[in-house]
Amino acid sequence: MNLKNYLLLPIFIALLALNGCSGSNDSDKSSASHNSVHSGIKVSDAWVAQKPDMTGVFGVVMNHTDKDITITGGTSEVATKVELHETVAAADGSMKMRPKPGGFTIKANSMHELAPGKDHIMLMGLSRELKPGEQLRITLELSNGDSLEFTAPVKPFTGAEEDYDPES
Amino acid sequence: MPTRRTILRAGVLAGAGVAASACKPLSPEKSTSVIAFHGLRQAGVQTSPQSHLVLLGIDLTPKSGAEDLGRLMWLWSDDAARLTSGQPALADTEPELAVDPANLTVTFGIGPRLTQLVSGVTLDPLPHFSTDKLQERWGQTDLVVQLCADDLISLTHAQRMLLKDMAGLGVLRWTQSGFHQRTDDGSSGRNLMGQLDGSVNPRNANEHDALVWADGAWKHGTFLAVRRIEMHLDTWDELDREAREFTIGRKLSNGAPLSGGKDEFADPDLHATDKHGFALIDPASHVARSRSAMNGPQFLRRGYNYVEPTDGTSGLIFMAYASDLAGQFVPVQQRLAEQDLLNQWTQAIGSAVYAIWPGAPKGDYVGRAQLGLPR
Amino acid sequence: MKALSASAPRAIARLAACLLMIAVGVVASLPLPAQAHVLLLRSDPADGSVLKEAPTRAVFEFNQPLAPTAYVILTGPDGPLTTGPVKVQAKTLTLTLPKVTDGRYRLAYRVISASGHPLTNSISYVVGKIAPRTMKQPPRERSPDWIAATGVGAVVLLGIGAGWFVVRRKRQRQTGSPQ
Ligand code: HEM
Ligand SMILES: [Cu+2]
Repeated sequence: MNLKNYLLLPIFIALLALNGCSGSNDSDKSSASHNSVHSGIKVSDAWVAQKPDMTGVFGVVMNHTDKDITITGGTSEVATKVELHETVAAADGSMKMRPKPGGFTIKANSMHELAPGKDHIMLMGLSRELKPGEQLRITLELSNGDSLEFTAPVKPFTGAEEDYDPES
Repeated sequence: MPTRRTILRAGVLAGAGVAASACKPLSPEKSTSVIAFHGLRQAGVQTSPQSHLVLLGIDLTPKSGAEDLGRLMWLWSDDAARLTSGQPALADTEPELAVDPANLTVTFGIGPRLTQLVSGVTLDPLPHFSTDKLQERWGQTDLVVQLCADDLISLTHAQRMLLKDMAGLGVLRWTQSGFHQRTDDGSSGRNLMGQLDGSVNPRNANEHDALVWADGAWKHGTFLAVRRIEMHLDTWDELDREAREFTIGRKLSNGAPLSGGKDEFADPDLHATDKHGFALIDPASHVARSRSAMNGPQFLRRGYNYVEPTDGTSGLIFMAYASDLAGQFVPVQQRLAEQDLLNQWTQAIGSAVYAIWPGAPKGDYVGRAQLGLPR
Repeated sequence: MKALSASAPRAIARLAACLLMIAVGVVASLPLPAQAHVLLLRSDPADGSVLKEAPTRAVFEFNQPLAPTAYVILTGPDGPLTTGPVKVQAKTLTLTLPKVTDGRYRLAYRVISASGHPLTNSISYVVGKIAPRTMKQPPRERSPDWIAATGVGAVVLLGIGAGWFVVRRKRQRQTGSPQ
């Protein structure tokens, strides 16, 4: 090895590192889930729990615009009804989920996490059994009249079995 | 005056500095512990062996076909892409365990039965070898997942995530856990017989291209032979050092061939003789029997040591990666079955072969293209 | 204190003798290395023998059962010669020898004990009438040498140690230096 090789080495290592990093930074895009960017609002890391009858959709909604945007409803090919749920502690101390009045408002330039035990999108009255690894298409309706479409993979998941309590 | 080494070290530090600033979410140390999942070829083969291994043998649930396998590969690829980069998987219930991947690699393969789902690729099971005493419980499965990492938390977390995600699609048949001795001076790690193991191996990209990576219908894929080999360490203990070195054909201290040379990387000379005229490396020794007439590596050996916690037996999870197992691995194993002094202390108890998928580019998942599935 | 000092040399001598006996016992009862090693007990032709006629076969008898892998090399006055195949049976190795002319022969062998220990060595013999030159003694087996050396070494060391101790005690007594 001559001196020239030594001088090139840092550049080479930097390139390697950059390469490695880009792999980690957009690994949310690395999967085949297509998260459409629409009017500056985006869903990433979306997934659906594999459950019978009704199930939750989770992920991160990001609002890249300068205005607050509210998700007011949604549709999916496999659900007779799509609801926007929040999870609250009931009087007996157990966690219950119920439709969130007014939907999810995502503040300007911020994000809103949809997670088990927190706010989530609920697919009600599933028309068929969901298969692990299948990609579900979900459309959300926005307060500004736009709609936001994304796909989410079905994942085996046994956690967060909150009771559904539409009355509370 | 800077020495070669200080220049080299300065270069590495400068490189790390650039890496750190270019890559905000990761601390400098961490940026070196990420091995990219996506690429032309899967990671975990040409990757220098990490400290820990978990090898999972999995059968696809009955009546599953290409479409089911595709969904499984989607889930697994997504998990692997995230976890190897230090991010939690989707639906990860222990996201904190994903923070430091510690060189995690996840490598996927399919057994002979599933290769028929891929056109143009066949994989024959290994022939029977006379020395085999194979146990069903370490036998062939439909799928293999090789997880390797330098940290057991990272490894175990990835293992659990993948197993959770195969619910309904796969059934776990066996788990083979192993460990590898990492060295910082470039020497091979030792196996449980105390030998430096891995001296003669493909070293550079050219050798890997020539010996490991397949072409044609399985371009950028490779093939893996897993042999679980028990070591009879109780009787091995009865041998003195001279006898142990004689059995292999190399010195225990530094792995140098008994024909001479300064270290394990010196070329063994099978014709060099002692004062009586006998070969210094005995013709029945492991090196003489396994060595190629071409004097060089014949495939990639990426073995891990194991200790079976239930009964204390131990040995080697021998893993050979080759572009053509029948042409490269089988003849060597055949020769060793015919004669190898080492056979007295080793016993193959498990055996399986797999086609290791080509890699997937970013935005795609492993196996999709080969299974002919849409994006 | 005084009484003890007076009788110390004798006590130490007794102790040294005792230790010596123990050391000898330990060395003598070290069975493992000796047994692990395969040794040639006898051969026909015997090492260093002078034979009127060329032998037609050679037999080697070892102290242990052998592994099937064994080799021989026969060298005569004109270089290497081809022998018949080696046959290993239990503790013996047998082979047929070619017809040879008068001269000095060396038959080298490499055997491996069933337990896995190799042994490489040779025997030499003379066929016919040639000037009786002192035959080179074959190198002796290494392990017994080692044991013997260790035994002798231990005895010598013990002797030196005991002697030094006695001298030191004596001197201490004379100078009255504290313990
Ligand atoms: C427990 C079982 C085994 C042990 C302990 C063992 C150990 C070793 C050691 C110490 C070396 C020399 C250093 C090196 O090149 O890595 C070696 C070389 C080698 N072994 Fe093994 N080995 C085992 C099984 C196998 C098997 C099953 C195969 C193939 C079927 C194999 C094929 C080779 C080859 C090809 C080499 C390189 C020979 C050369 O080109 O010099 N080994 N092995
Ligand atoms: Cu809900």
